Amino acid sequence: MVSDYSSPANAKLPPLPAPGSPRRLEGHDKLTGRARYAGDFTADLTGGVLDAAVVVTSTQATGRILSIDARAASQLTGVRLVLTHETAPRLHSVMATNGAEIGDLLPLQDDKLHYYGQAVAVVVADTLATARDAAALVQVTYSAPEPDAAFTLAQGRGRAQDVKKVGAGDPGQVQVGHPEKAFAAAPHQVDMTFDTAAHHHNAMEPGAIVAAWDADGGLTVHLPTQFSYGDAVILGEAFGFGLKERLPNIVAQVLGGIEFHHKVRVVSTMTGGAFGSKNANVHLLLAPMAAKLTGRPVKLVLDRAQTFTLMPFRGEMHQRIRLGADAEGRLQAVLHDALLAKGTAGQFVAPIGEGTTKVYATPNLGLHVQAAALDTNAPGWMRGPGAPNGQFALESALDTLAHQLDLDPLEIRLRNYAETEPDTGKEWSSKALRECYAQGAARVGWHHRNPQVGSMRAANGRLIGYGMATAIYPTLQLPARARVELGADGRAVVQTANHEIGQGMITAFTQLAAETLGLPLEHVRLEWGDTRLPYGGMTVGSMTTLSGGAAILEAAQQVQKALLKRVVTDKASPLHGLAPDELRVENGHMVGPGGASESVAAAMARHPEAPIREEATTGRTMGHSSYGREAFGAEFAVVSVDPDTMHVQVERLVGAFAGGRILNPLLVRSQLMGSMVWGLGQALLEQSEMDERTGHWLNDSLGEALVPTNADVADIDVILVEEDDSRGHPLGVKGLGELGITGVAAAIANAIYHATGQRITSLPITLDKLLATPH
Amino acid sequence: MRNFGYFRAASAAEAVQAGATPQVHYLAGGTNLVDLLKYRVEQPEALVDINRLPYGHIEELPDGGLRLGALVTNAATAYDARVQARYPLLSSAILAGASAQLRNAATNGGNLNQRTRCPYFYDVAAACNKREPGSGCAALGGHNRDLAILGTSESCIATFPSDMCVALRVLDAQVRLLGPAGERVVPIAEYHRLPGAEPWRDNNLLPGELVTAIDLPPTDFGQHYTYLKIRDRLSYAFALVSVAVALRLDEAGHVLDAHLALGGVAHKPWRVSEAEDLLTGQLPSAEVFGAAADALLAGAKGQGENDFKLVLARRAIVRACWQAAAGTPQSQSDKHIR
Repeated sequence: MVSDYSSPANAKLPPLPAPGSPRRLEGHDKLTGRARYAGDFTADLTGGVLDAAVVVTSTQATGRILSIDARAASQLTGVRLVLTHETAPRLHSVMATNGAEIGDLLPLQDDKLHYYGQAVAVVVADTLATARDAAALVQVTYSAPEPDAAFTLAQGRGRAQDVKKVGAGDPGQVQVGHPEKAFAAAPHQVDMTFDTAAHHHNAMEPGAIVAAWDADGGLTVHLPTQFSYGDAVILGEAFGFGLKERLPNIVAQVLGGIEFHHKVRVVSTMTGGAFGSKNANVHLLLAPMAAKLTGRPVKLVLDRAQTFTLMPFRGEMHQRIRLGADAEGRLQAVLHDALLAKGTAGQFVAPIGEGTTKVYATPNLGLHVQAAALDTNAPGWMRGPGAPNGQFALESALDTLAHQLDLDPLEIRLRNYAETEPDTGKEWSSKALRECYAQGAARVGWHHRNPQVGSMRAANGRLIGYGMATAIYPTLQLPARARVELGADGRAVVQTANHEIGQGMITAFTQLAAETLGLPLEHVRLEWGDTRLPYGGMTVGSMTTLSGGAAILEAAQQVQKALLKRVVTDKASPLHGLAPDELRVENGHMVGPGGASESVAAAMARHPEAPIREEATTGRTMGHSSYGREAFGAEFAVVSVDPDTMHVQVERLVGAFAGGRILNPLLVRSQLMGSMVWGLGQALLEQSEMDERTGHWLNDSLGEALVPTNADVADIDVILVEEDDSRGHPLGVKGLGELGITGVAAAIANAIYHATGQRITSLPITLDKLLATPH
Repeated sequence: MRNFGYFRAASAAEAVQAGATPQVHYLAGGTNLVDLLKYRVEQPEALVDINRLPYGHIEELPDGGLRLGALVTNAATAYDARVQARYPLLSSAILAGASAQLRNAATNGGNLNQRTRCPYFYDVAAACNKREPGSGCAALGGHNRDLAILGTSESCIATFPSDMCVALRVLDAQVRLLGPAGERVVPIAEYHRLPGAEPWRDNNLLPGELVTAIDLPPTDFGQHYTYLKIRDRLSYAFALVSVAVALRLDEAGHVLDAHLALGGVAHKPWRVSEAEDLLTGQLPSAEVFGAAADALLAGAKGQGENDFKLVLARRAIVRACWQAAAGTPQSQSDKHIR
């Protein structure tokens, strides 16, 4: 995608709120509706023709489709196609590096039902209204459902199996020392179980795709995604393109310098919120299947309810935490057993043990993860993705231990501070968690609270409580490529197929390139989100700046080096004869000793035939490092609880985070704040409610799936704690997007305990759970 | 959404004539109806757009009451200076509901006629006697956390979701109707129905009848009132339990007159005269308010997931009575429970 919005230099905006924090370059376009999302596509962008596709989903979870009667639907004027398992193109099996459902289950290939809300047909018509109308007329008849279906962990407990690898390959079974023995021998013990509800992403933008086949058999799709290259490979495999590039080897192929085929082009201009949900979803295949049969471009936008079954979610999790401690509260054993819901297809199991294996020092550590495949759509990556739940359990248990030992909850965390990485013994690349604790505690007034449980009351009688927890998120990096070209006009174009998912990538990358090249921001243009551009990797795991930023940094450094070499050898330059390392480039000017200077534009204009172009591939170690690399933070919550109705109000959230170098404080603050709001939602509101008899998600609308509103959201403080991680990463940055959600639910649950004396061990903490205790 | 006919009525007579045909619905703000069309819960042959009818005003009544036109929006009603001064309870209840955008579009007549939010009513694949008579009730034994504890039947445990109508019930509003047989006036108490064996009938409207206005009798509840709405999310969420209370107190603080109604717990706003009688003549106390709460909740029965509503409703009633007696009504702008 070529950025086609007006230069930020022309935008009339108030002064920047913080130096070094340019506002979002695409913000004006988003606010005015000029930014184009896939769902905004109209026929003029696809050669004058664009049909509308609507998915029909199953109203039964198990059994078989006996028949699909599409006669009435097909007879509506304007209907071009009713695609079913009987008429759909046969697809080749695909790999999905991220454990997504389509790696195991391709759509419309047979009559078998796997979950409620499964795609069973796609209707294509000349207008959306006709397609919707026709979709409602498709009559599907099912066999009797299977009697032994399981839709919840309670129903499917018998299906539990040990999990070798969680998340992107972290171990599901960890043992350090002799945790069971050490726990049994510990003088102080906590043994608690926790249950957390399923909840969905509910990103503003639903899944959407525009698919068009060209006359040469090539395929172009426009869609919001977090991995355009991955989608291209999946499409290439599914439709039998015979591409050389392959998942999951693509990363090695990138590092090996593979020439990509580009027969399948994936363009992702804007993604309206992803958070892990826009990863190889089933509609990636449905729209091209339909367009192949109609021979015309097709647009498919999921409706909100369909995002509950055709896109992933955070599944139910059941956890047991056992902590053994000595009399001083030092952990002798940490045991974490987890049972997570999996889908009927799909391989994803959330990395639930991030906290237990990385946060606290203990000589004996055990992680035992199991998963049960339920008859539902597949859970998947979602903000965190396991750490928010894992930290809820661990930090609630640790809070319980602190109260048992009459220790300050902050003190017990300091006593168990891990000076090295607990499961590996590695030295940290950096870790300013102590400063996070200190600054967060000072800001929230931790040491001025009355630590006695149930002791604090507001003037209006509400119960007041303070709670805290540790935040953790791994610092990851994957291979990425970037190309930087400095043109004859002295302006640079930066190309990398990474993705703007609302996090601010466009701004951060443009800013980083401008800073590295020494150009003003408006002299740098980023091209992103298109498989015609160099491989940009996956926009996941809070690693966009780490992965793509590293490649841009390296390519831009090379460009600058070439530029300086050029001017010092160019007789026409006032800088001729100087040594390159005597020069610095600032604001578009190269400046040497004694005031000699030349603008980049003037130097480049003398050689219009020779732009400077460099490419870099970074991330060769796949983020592996001799150091332990994690980002840490401290979350503090102040709640008030109405003593009659037990309604919980979060009055204040303070998060202090150390994330290495902060490239753009404005963007980072907004990400962390958004993450903390989601943590608040997870703590108090969010749960996807299922009819446990049918496997149907019931509250599948933005009206009924409760996410926090302004009235629910507290006063939120984000503190960015200084940290030098230059030995961890060339930019010194860490992953911050997801860090903010981890620990919030625990901090709120711990605050509720401080306020009420009630230890609620299931999420969300709704008032009925607090009312269940006699008053 | 299935295609439907659309007819914009130029006069009330024209509207009523068109509206008397089966499978024809009136369209005002459309904030609920259009959703129901999209979900195919309602599949009318035609809509009669009544937005041009002359029911868009709030007028003084000779007895000192107010007449709220059926087409006045919920927002315009809540922010009307006369409503705020004389019926602050109504204003408060309206502002507790929905969102600013919805209140700007939703009308008073439409608020009376909104349908339940039971998830199974919206799910056309599920059994629902209200949507499809005789199909059964999937909510029984299903997900029923938000559903009714009072006045339920074996065929339906849905709740009526309105906040505004809970206040109207306390204020003894009268609903003015125009139908093929002419005008009639129905007290709010007799407007909505309990589900019984015919849960598809939300109210006692006759075929073709149109709400033209809501009449508020003169009252003196401007000092001691509250609308306390308890919900998981503080804004844009339906009530788990809501309580409307209006009291008149003498100078010594004795209750002269008490009106109490509940929302979110039944198929209609729930009001019981025995509960109010227990308050009359009494000084505010936890015991007196508790006794009234018990009377108001007499016969309440949980469905499993919603058992907590029995406890929550009792506490909310007592709390609301205190708020009203103290003259410190629940704020709807600062939504934190007081």
